[in-house]
Amino acid sequence: MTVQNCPRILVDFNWLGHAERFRVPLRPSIRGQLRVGDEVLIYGDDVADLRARVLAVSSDELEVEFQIITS
Amino acid sequence: MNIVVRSKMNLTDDDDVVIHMGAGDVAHLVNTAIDSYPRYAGLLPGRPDRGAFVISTFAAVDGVSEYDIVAAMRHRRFATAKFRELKDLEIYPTSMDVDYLPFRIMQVHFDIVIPDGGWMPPAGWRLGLPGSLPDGLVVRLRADSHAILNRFTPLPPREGSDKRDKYPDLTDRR
Repeated sequence: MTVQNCPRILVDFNWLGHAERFRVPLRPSIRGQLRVGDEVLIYGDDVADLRARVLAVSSDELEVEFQIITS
Repeated sequence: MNIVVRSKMNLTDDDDVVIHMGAGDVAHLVNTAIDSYPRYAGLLPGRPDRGAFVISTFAAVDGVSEYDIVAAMRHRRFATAKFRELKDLEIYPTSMDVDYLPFRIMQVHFDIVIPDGGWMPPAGWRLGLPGSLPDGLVVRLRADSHAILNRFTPLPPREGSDKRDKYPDLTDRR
């Protein structure tokens, strides 16, 4: 999966600030599509897209933990 | 991640309230508000079964400066308003039970409610499904959000999104 076609995850950066590891709720439309190790693009209003990796998916798939890829 | 309403609403007329202005399209700001709607279940008095559409702000109070707020964020565009210019809006002191933001910044976060005209999610409603919100509601949310943003005076954009970048001189902007 290339960066161009990997899932895009909308987040509210007001709550995340500069955090590089965080857990966010998933919209229903993307539930069931993410697995640990997947790469995604994190985006939000007025913030450049950030590459991130899936660290964990909750058992009910309501939340996912991401790690921003900095290198 | 749960929203917590703090008990203390400690803003006075002359306090500065900081908001990120988005990238120029209010639709993005409203999309974020729509995405967060379920997490605000119970925020509004008398509406325990509904969420809320909100816009995040931070107040320069309790020893937290505008500089501190901007430095804690990744956004590039910010604006400020005096609390007296916002007093007729529905505003709640809210925090989140995670520590992604510095604690002192989290403690000066306030949510401005975007009026929803009494919209009630229908039974079985799920965010993110096609047509999950009436078009008229989305149009109204955008218009009201635009009106809220217009109460704020923009600050010069930051030169970059990294917290180590140079920031505008917040003390000399007016």
